[in-house]
Amino acid sequence: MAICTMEDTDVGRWFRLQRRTSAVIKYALLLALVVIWMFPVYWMFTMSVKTPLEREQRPPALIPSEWTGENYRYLFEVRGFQRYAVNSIVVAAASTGIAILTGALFAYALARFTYPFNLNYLLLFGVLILRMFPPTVTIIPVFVIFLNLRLIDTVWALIIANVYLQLPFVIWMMIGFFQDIPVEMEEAALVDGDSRLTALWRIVLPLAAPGLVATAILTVIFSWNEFLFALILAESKAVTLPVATSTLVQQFGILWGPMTAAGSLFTIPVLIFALIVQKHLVKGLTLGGVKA
Amino acid sequence: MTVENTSQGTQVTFDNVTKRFGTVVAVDRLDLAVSEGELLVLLGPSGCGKTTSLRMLAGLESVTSGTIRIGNTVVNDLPPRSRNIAMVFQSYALYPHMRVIDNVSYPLKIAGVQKSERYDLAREIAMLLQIDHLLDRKPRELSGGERQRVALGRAIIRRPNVFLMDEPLSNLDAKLRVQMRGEMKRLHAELGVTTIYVTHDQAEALTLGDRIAIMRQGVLQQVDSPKEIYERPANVFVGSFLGSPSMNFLDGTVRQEGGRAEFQGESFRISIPAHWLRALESGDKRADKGLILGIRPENIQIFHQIQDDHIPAKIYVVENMGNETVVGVDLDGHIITARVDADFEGEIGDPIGLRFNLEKAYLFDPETEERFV
Repeated sequence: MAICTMEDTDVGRWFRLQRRTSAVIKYALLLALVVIWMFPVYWMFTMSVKTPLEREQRPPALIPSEWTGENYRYLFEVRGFQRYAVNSIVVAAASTGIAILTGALFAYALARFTYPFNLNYLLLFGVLILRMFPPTVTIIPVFVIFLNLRLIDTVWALIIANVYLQLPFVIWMMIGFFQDIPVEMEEAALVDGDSRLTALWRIVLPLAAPGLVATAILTVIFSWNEFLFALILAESKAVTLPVATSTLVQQFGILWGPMTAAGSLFTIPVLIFALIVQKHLVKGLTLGGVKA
Repeated sequence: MTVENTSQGTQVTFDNVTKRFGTVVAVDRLDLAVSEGELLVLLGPSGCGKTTSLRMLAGLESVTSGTIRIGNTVVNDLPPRSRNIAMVFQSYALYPHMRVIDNVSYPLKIAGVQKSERYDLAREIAMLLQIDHLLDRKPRELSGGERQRVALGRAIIRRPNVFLMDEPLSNLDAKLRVQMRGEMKRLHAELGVTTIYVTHDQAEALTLGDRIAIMRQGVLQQVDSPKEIYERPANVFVGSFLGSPSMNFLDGTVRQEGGRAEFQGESFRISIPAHWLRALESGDKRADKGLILGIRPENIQIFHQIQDDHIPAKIYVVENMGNETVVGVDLDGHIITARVDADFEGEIGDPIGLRFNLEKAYLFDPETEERFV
């Protein structure tokens, strides 16, 4: 028989070899990137559990030979980090909740309705201008306002400040997600007996869930990391983890042990939050509802 | 089956309804009455205002002026949920995060019907539509035809007063479309619910509609039964829009010589029936003003042997469709089409003779494009 398949020829063999080689190269590159990115995190964590002696060892040990919780004990028992952690959690959770709720409704209204006088565009752009101000420019007026409101050194001040900082981001993120949901689905719900609000609740929000979750994760991370406003608006009672961690940089040196322990602690809640909500981050939830 | 004939059809009336988007008039003074249990097809090219009319009836678009009634109720300012209508969208608009059974029973869920009860009814309707094996799937796992049935089921389940269908079959492939067309007709016969069906597909309109309403650029052109609208088109547009291949139009004038009247085209003349002349005179039409003769392809006969009363022409192209042959005819520079038997034989350029069956031809006024014979 004169028929030969691709596999029988040199060309076929060459293609298969090439495909296999390119896969190997791809995974090797990805692995290298993961190692490069993860190494500082790994280093921070191992530093935090090393004894002071091993920490100063040259060359440094890749794997700690002896584990100690001393640095963590120092943070909680001497520095009172539990209080700062509670402040941080309250501020991040409350500001994210408020920003997501109000921002999503704002974005939905702009995505679905056309307002007169070009208001859709003006409002959306106005919101962006808010974010264009460098926060440092607004920090003194904001401080004076909160001083007059007697909110300085309260978590309320930090919650409000974080909502102010995150809202433009939430609105700009969510408007895209809402625009991606076919309007016919909502119209079908309206005809099926829903009101605008129940259609929003039962049809639109479930479909926008991946967008809401992605936005919420980023908002939580931003609020959690926020330093400037926390530094200026809180003195002692409302101090958050980033500000408290910065106090470990002292006049005559950096307390590396407690510093790496604080850094590790600081990462954990965000990591847990992301792991919990990641299942909502599935793509293609709206697939199949309408014919593309 | 208990889902049969449970709904009472309700009359729908558009009374001088206009819709403007900014300066664009989408629907212009629409007057239309749909009777109880009727299936009315709104037909027209895209952008003619048919979908806008349907959306106004659904409450998804506001009405600029005029009144819309469902039954005796003016619904202009009622939200969609208070109109007791059901709609099937062109894109189906299923809820992608719900299973089929939840999609179908969604209107009942909103109405507050118990879960077991609404699921029972959904199963019953799924049987009717032959989707009972799909109830636990999500819309994304269904084919186009199956999604279409789910959308239909969701519309049927709430026993609405009126069904609104917005090109429900246009996303299906040709074979499935023909199959679903038949099922739509059967379903309408079983349920007897007043239905307004929007389409741009003339075959759907002709097969499904009790009556057809043809729209063009926001203006209603003609409302009539499919047979009537095909045989007695109100104007040039209706004549050309319905029928495939479409109607031929020839310019000319009517001349009288003695007792005989003739239609004088650019390159031919043909005797016309006496009653055409009477109609022309009573309609106060000056015959010499110019007229348009409209004739459908099936009313033109082709002869290879040219006789005196034939119109001489040449074959331009021959298209064999299997069950019939469509012949393009070169009539002195004008290409017209004729529909003849499948066994027709002829070569491009062959001289032929044409005979027009004028009993089934029309005269239109070239200015208004209205038909007067």
